[in-house]
Amino acid sequence: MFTLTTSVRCDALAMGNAFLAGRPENSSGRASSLTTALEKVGEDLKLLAEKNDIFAAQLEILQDPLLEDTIKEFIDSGQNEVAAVGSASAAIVSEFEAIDDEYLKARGDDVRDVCKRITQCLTGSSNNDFNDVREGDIIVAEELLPSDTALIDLSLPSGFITSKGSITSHVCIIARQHSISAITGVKDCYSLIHNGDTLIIDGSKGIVIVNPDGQTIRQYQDILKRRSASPCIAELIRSSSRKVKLMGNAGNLEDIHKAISDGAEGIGLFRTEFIFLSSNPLPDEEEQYSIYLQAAYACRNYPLTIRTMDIGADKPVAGLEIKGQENPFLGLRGIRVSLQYEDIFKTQLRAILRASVAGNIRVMFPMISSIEEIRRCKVLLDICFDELNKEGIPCSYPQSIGIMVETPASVLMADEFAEEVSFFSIGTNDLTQYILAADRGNSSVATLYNSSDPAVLKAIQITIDAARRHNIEICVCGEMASDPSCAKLLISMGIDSLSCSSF
Amino acid sequence: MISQKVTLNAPSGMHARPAGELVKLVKDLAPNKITISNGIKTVNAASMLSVLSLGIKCGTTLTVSAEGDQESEALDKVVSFISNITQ
Repeated sequence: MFTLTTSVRCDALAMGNAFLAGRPENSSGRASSLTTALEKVGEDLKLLAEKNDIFAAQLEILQDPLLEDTIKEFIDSGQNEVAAVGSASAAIVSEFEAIDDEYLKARGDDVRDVCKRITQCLTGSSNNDFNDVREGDIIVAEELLPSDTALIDLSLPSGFITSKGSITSHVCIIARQHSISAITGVKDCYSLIHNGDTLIIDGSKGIVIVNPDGQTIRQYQDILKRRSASPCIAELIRSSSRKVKLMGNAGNLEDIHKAISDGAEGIGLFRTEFIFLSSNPLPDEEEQYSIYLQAAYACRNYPLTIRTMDIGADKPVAGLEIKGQENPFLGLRGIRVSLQYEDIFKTQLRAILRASVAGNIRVMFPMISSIEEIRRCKVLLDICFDELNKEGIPCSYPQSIGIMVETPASVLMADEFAEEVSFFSIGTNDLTQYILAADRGNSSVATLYNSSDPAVLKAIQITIDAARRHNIEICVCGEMASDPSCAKLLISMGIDSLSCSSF
Repeated sequence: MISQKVTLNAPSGMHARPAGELVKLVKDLAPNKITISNGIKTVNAASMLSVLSLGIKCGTTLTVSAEGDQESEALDKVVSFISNITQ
């Protein structure tokens, strides 16, 4: 028994026998000109592209003049065709990796894959050696490219282990779609693991255990049994008969990257407190603009729901004087702080409006309890928008405006609020404590604080029904959404999306 | 061959979508040959990967060059396209 490690942390968990993917074959130089090889690969990709968009993207790369031009440059410098394809691949990929463009970075795997196809076509070699994979096997490879995974019957393996790659690699995306446990960045896995070795992948610790002893096997059998008993949120959503969107909760930029790479279709709750809590003096417009814009790009084309600062009560801020309050949860917090300190609020709104040029930003106001509050928020948003326009600063209106439904007042007035906004997001943590009048931080009433209490569920149903009547989007972003058994209930109650901290 | 300078004002720089549209336009202008330079590297504007590999950020001034029978018209079209990219 020995253990291999990686710095990558993920929720991968699997046990099975090792299946080593074949090493790429060396070129034997079977003759066929570069032009014919390019044509042949183009035809192959055209057929594949009909089934899978990955290959449509690869076809574009093949047809891009850059690839052929670069290969020809290497041929002109004296290399043979096969070597030139390899050199061109390496040169283009390293150039892409140096550019700060997400699209280009993600194309690296595709360029290498296309070049590998050209090489195979030139040499007549093939590495289709996944026919012997058996159910439950863990495939071990230096790296798994889209053309490799396309050859694997993905219903069979329980895991992938690669020495190259990151959590955003193609292999991880494919693995997630097929509920396969993938772990990347495991150095030397390919040379130290042998065919048929018993392997355990534990992504939470970033380890692969090779040939574990009996006690370790039993320990992981128990963990696996427990894991399979409770389906994860992502599986629940996949198996749901109604289309429900899975979104992520994020407290910083890293969370966003992780959620999107884990398969979230956007961020349903981007808490902006971290900007205010960690910074003294308060962050200015430029700083916030830069953070929001980065966050919007991190979401790619999916929506980013920015919740305006939700401070006060349990989250005091150095730059803001919120005096000691007898009942902080019933005091100055959330939108009430923002409307009390309008200058600070306007700075945030201006930054959000400027970042909204990214096109995928939604704005959400917390702790709303009266119609006047949301109307004032909208007026302030309009004022900021006009100011920016007058100053000639590029900005755009957010994709949509919504509120957190977390006070009993907003539940009871849900129909009226639905006239004002285009989405609701139920914050079950606060809603539970307000509906049940049980402070969530007070351990002596901890037994009363229960998100599944009938009163809380009734409040949630009232909100969902109002949203349906007015045809606006309804999301749940509290912790309840991250608990599989509660999530199942919420889906059946009619929500459109779940925003979870983990899935 | 004729050239003209143009500044990209799109806040998010030259990312995949505008680059794709630019390449489409350039292809329509063939056989006129269009190149774009950021002052360090000059690339074929008919290659989306090459255009992206310039890593053009907001505020970057580019030199667009055109060569061909309708080079003046082609140059105008490309320059006007780049200056009108807003997001």
